[in-house]
Amino acid sequence: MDPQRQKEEFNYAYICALAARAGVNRGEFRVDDDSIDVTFQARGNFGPGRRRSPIIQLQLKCTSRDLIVNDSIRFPLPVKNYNDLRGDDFVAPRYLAVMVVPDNVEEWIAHNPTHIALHHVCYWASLRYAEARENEKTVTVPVPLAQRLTHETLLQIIERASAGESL
Amino acid sequence: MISDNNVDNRVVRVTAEQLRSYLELKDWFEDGKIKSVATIWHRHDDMDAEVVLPFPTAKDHEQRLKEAIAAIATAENRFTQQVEDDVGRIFANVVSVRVIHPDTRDGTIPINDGVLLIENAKELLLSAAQSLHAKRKQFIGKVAADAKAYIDTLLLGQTEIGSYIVNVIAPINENPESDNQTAEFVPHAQAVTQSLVAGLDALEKASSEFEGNQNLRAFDNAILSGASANMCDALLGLSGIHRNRSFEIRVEFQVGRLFETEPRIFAFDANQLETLSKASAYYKEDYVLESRKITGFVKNLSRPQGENLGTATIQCKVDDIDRLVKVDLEGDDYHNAVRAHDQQLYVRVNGDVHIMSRSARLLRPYDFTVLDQPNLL
Repeated sequence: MDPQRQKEEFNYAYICALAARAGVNRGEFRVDDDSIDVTFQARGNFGPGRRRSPIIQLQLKCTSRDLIVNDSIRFPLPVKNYNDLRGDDFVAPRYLAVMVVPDNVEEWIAHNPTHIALHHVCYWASLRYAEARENEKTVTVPVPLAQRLTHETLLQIIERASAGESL
Repeated sequence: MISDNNVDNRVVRVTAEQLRSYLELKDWFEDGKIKSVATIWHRHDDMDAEVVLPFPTAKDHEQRLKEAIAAIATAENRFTQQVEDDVGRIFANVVSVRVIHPDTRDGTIPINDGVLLIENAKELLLSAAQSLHAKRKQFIGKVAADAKAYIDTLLLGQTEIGSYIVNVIAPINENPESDNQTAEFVPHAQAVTQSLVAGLDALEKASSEFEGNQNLRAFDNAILSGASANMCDALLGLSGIHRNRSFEIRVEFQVGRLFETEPRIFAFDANQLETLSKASAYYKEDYVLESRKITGFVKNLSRPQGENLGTATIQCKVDDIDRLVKVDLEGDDYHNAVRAHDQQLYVRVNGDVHIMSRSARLLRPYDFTVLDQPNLL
């Protein structure tokens, strides 16, 4: 398998594991030209907003490059993705999820006697209020290391979506 | 809910505004907004049901619209296609032509008949549109601008299997720019559909009357309801090149906000086609009244020099209508016609009367008689 494709699948599996733990449904709305890789929806009366079954959508990126500067990943996001994720006029809030994996694929998964470990970690960022940029190819997006994507943050993000808001 | 059943890449055929009307019609209620990007709809009888209707300005409008249709389909336990069809029906009338014949059972139709079917479905609606503004036996020449504009709005729906069915969708514009809209305002497309139904209704009744008394004047009143030669010809065209297919026309009106309207169905079997053909000829004033006995005065006579055969024009009534009927006579019959003309005597002759728009001629004349005695009248 192509190494980039391997990263995408690993990232997808990682995210799906979080969603399974959170108990949210995964929709197969993979819209190639709209920068969306995965959609999650909670069921019935979820969150404080009027929307009972909120939806969020994620663009997944996986990298083994050393992009960490200080306390954030400086991720070079293609302009197309940047513009597709940017703005506050989405019905379903959109997020960028960046997963950092070891360069050596052998280190991605560790099988332990009592558990399996996936390396390393996925972080999220919202471009809701990001400004328009004139860049031609990529826009460097800061993804704070403090914004680790866990099943709990996934639930918080979906809760906010019930009111049409982003975390 | 996200339902795999509903995930597809099809282009959505309905708008958010149409979906909104559908939701209002089906007892959904607006239960809030998501900022300025969408409205949230719920049902009192189903706590799980939820539709989020995006505003056209929402960046993810198209995808959310698909989800809205999917959510309705899930709540109503139906396919998205059915929901879209019903939403479309709020804003359109649908005229379906179903051809019933052994060779259409598998959902196919010979291509020439298929082309005729579509052409004549259009002609049928054109005849209804034309009769909306003028009741005529036949529409010839330039098509009125609004009738043409109406035809331009028609959509050809997907063909269906079930014999062979062609659907013509007539969208209804309920928000014309006209300022003089009143409570009784009927959208033009709706009026055309009503004209179609009235015309078909009238033709059905007239055909039944004609089959009972064989009097073509049974079709006169149908003109006032919108029937015409064009409508008859379109119907005949629907029966195929060999005019041997039965067919059914189903007219479904837009789904009303206050009430459900039943579709109207008009069935034509192959046996009725001959009657339609006669009605068409009658409307075109090019028809034959068989086995008539005409009685009247000889108004004109003409015979080319040296010929045995001459023509007498007889002023008479044919089926209670005053006409000048030309009759070809030869030999003694012509001489007797000259005598009747000279002495102003009635004449009588039998035959089939061919009625045309500006003239009439007796075909196969026989038993020409001069009525010397008035009491023979």
